[in-house]
Amino acid sequence: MVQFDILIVGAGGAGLYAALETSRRKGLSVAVLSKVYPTRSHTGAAQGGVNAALGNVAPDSPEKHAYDTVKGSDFLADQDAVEMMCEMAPKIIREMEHMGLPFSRLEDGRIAQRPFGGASFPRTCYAADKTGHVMLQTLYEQCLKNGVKFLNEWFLLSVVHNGERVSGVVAMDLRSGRIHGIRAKAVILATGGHARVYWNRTSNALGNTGDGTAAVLRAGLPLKDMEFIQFHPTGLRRTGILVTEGARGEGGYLINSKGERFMKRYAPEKMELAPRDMVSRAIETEILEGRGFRDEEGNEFVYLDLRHLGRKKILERLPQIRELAIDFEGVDPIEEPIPVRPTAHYSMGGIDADKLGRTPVKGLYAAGECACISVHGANRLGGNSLLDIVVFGKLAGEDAVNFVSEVDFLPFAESEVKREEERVNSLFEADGKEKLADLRSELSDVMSYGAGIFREEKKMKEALEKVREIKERAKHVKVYDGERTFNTNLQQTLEFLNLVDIAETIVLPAIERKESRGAHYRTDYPKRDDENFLKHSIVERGDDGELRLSWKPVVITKYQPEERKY
Amino acid sequence: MEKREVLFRIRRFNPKRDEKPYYQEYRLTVPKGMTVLEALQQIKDTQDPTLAFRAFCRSAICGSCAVKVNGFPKLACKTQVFNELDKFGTDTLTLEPLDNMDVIRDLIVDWDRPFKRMEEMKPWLVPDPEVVPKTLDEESRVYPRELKKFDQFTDCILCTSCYSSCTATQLDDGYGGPFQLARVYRFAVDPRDALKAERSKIGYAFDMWNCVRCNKCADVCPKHVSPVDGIMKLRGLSIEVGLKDNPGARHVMAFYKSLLESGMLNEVLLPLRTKGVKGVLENLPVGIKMILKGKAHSPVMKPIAEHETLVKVMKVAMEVE
Amino acid sequence: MAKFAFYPGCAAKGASKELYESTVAVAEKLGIELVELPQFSCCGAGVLEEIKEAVDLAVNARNIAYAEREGLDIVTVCSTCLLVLKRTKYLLDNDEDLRKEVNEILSEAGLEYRGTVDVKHFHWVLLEEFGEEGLKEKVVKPLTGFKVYPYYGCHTVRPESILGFESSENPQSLEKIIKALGAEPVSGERRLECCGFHAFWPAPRMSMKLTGLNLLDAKKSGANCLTTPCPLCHMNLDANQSRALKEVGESFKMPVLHLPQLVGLALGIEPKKLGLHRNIVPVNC
Ligand SMILES: Cc1cc2nc3c(=O)[nH]c(=O)nc-3n(C[C@H](O)[C@H](O)[C@H](O)COP(=O)(O)OP(=O)(O)OC[C@H]3O[C@@H](n4cnc5c(N)ncnc54)[C@H](O)[C@@H]3O)c2cc1C
Ligand code: SF4
Ligand code: SF4
Ligand code: SF4
Ligand code: SF4
Ligand code: FES
Repeated sequence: MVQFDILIVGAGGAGLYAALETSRRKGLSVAVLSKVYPTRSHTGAAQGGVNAALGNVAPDSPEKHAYDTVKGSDFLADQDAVEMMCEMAPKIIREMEHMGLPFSRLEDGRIAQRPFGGASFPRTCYAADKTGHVMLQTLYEQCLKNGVKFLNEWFLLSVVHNGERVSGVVAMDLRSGRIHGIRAKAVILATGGHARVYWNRTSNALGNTGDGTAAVLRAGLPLKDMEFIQFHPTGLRRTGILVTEGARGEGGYLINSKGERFMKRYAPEKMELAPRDMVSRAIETEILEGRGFRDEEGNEFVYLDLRHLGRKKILERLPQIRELAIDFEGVDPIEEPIPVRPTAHYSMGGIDADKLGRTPVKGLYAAGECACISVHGANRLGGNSLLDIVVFGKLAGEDAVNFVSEVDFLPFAESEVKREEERVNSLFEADGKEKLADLRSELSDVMSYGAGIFREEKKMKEALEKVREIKERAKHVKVYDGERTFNTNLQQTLEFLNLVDIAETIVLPAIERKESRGAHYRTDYPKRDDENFLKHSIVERGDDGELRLSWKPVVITKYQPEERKY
Repeated sequence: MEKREVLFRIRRFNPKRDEKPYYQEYRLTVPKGMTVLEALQQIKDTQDPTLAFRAFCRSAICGSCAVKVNGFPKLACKTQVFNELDKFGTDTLTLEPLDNMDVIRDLIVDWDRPFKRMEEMKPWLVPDPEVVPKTLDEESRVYPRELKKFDQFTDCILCTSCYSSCTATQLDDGYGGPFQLARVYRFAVDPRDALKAERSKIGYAFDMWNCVRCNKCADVCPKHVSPVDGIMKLRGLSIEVGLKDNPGARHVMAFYKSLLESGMLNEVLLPLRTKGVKGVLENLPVGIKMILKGKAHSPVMKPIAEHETLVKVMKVAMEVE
Repeated sequence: MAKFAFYPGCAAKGASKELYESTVAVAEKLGIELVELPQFSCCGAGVLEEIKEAVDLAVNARNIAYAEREGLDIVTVCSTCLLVLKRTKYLLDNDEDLRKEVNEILSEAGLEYRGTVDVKHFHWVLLEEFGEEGLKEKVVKPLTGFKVYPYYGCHTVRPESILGFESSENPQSLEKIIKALGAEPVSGERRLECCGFHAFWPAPRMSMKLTGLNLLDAKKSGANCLTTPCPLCHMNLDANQSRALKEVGESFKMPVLHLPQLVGLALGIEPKKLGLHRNIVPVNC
């Protein structure tokens, strides 16, 4: 059986930073396993930027960054982790700068920073509107330089542990279709988010299906704060493809059908740069109350107007956004406003991990969007995820290096591989009474209806019923493609099954959290309730296959909960 | 909303089973605005689950989905079906895997070769201790005009479209490839890099002078990178670091000289200036034919009018930063 | 009638005299006034970019600046000149800072680039000025029976973002002209492939192979001659034909006409005036 001291699953920003960190220690065998070629990971889609209190444009400090983050999180973030992240931010940004990351620059040659939602200062470092792309490329280049080993186009199927320590993973080589056990002393999961649960309207890549998160759930480990899904205010009308917050950071307006900058009613001070949850609700409210636009296909939307920024600024700072609007909406933002509506964007919840990425199973780590540390609490601020992934990728890498130097490999039972083989084989034998695409779309509709931007008990309970029903029906989804080589039919089916597992873990705690906090907004409980719900939700799957919900306290250091006003 | 009946001819191939590739036809009703990727996924969802293609971000940033559409590499996710139909005045779209790489299955190609090639060319920053600070308390200074020199090349999403269409790649196994060479240039002009112009020697070792300047790479790039521009400039750097004794570099110098001398290219002296006596001999048969047909001018050329303005701007341009 | 600043390029002034001759003859016949500016220099064929981009841009901004002085759009008969001049214009028109820098250089010679004139290829002008129908009307000797391979090569169509006259994937300008002349355009797979001219010095065999493949494709598609809008393509396809064919293990003769030569024949201009006797592969007509 193949074995590595450390196996990193996922090659986005989190996975690659972890890999870089481990590659600095000589003599360790490390591999990065990813279902897509590393530079294709979803980190590359991040446009707007990454936060760090460099203070290059206006005086700033890590404390202020931490405060903004905690406030943005609606006080659900663990403050010790937030402080650590914000403290490390300037150094890690400079570290990437030293690796060659092509940040946009000020006239004096220092890194430029732009304003972003929920931040008190221009704090977001950026490379035009391709920040994630160049970050991913830079990290990948440095991994190549350090000779990191990559298993590209391999698909994680399960995580194997003995209740105390991790012993490896089971994964499929997509190219050959063969299923392998991989033994490892430490496994770092960096498999990204799961907003694809909202399949029909999301900014996420097709493969952001929470595979690692679902594998952890199946392995009996806890997930945290799963009810919190961020809806980004500005997805393109037709596709949900993202228009970065940077567009508003540069001064874009949101306009309703009355021609008003309606944000003045919701966040008179910060206007368009209020946190995402607020702006998304504001847009949906405008639409609900009849002040949106409607096209011939029935899509409803508001406008994001950039025209007043002028040609030069748009071309210089937002060139890709302009392309996206032209290619996917047929609209040139220099000439016309962009039709937008909120789109499912980010998973605040995920694998329960501490501030070094450690899960309850020794040697198993989680970092990046698949993890919930938690630094984003109930609502993530723009530009904080790219920071989160590199900081905690690095820390998990560091800790894993220390861990593996003290332990030996655990035995890895062949039966673990067998089990996954059987699970996969059974998919070829299903009766085909249900169709993958239809069911996937149905799941998306159910989730938008029951666990979308506005939530209420009755709808959520209906949704939970429906999700469970879909889970049953999913057993009838058949893989028709009988070939093993690059069987994308099989892969899409496995991904869908992961989404189904995850959907349930979102709705269940959402029903029980009887308050509104950050992205979790309930019309039946419109107020935050610190007395009862200033706590993290935890879901686990018991041996009986049922989900169990419990709660865990929030770490508070300096910042006492207060009302969130912008 | 406008809809059209479209015939998709898709090249299929599973090297494990099929002796050779074949085309399979699918009909689909396509609404205006539908992308090639959406069409592919719809065919997969409703007609043929075995159809294999790659896709991930579906927003033109991950570089997974490049395929040939009616013969030209395109990102399936950002290419609208109607645009292509209109361009070719047809209701048929032929979809094929990219060229210059082996097919793994259907529209999926093997990226190993182009990416290994890139790796061999050291596509990473080697920090220059003079520029990059030693501690993490400071940033290196990179001025906007320095960034501008290499910024466009950092847009590359490694979709391999340019590689697929590259003329030199097709004919020369030792050729570095468009996006790969462009990346070498990207680092060569990054002020933070320690190797700097020396990197052009890598380009030289990977046959950069064999680029035929067909501009296909610039034309197909979905991110508006122009690899050929990077390659031209990388050649310039190689001359700067002293790789002058080769036909490519001598050819460049011959042009430069001609312009300074008369303002027009001295074609008669070109073989001699570029390849020395060997060049003259190699091209003798053709040269003689051309002389016989009255196609040769005198080796001494009369300068153009206001030649001094040309000399002036060339000299000033050579001196500016 | 239409009046242009004529930019023949060095090839047409030198080894491809017949292109110069035929262009002038055709223009005269059609009443297009070509004013050759004596200040025009060689464009550097893109090679100057390999010395330094600023030199390339300054040299060509200078060329354009002289045309601006006359208030005339530039017309050229060389694909490479076209791309080099167009590229200069494209970069300077879309980048204020760059334009400023280049103008600082030009100002040393008392010149200024303003971006007031366009750059066109001669055959674009034919279509713009007359259209297919208009051209057809001018034809006195329809080229019936000519099966012409429309060889575009690279620099009249690629990159489309800079050249922009027609689609680089399915251009039709040559086909339209060929049809208007009464000839039949054959459809070939390599009409948009490169001839390898620009790698002739460093990689002669590769260059010759490409040219050979293109000629072979013309032969296979049943063409009895080939036409090109570029003297450099012409040099490889015509002057180097036998060597190119050897590279692909063939030997035959495929006449290669500069586009103005083909047009000239249909307009009834005598072959001598079109310089047809200078073509290396004999053109029998
Ligand atoms: C459109 C968009 C724009 C954004 N803009 C910003 C921004 O401007 N600023 C900001 O801070 N944040 C932004 N975000 C959020 C941020 O980009 C992501 O949260 C972050 O990049 C996630 O990084 P990651 O490393 O955790 O995961 P990812 O980059 O998603 O990588 C996941 C990796 O896991 C691998 N993987 C997944 N499943 C499997 C499996 N089963 N087997 C093997 N490998 C697997 C994948 O191949 C991939 O390599 C944006 C997000 C989106 C969607
Ligand atoms: S211009 Fe050069 S690098 Fe670009 S495709 Fe042509 S041969 Fe390849
Ligand atoms: S240069 Fe352009 S075409 Fe080539 S790989 Fe990069 S993005 Fe794709
Ligand atoms: S392309 Fe050649 S021949 Fe034509 S002008 Fe330019 S340099 Fe001279
Ligand atoms: S075909 Fe040859 S000569 Fe003609 S434009 Fe292309 S490279 Fe230049
Ligand atoms: S799917 Fe990512 S580029 Fe097309």
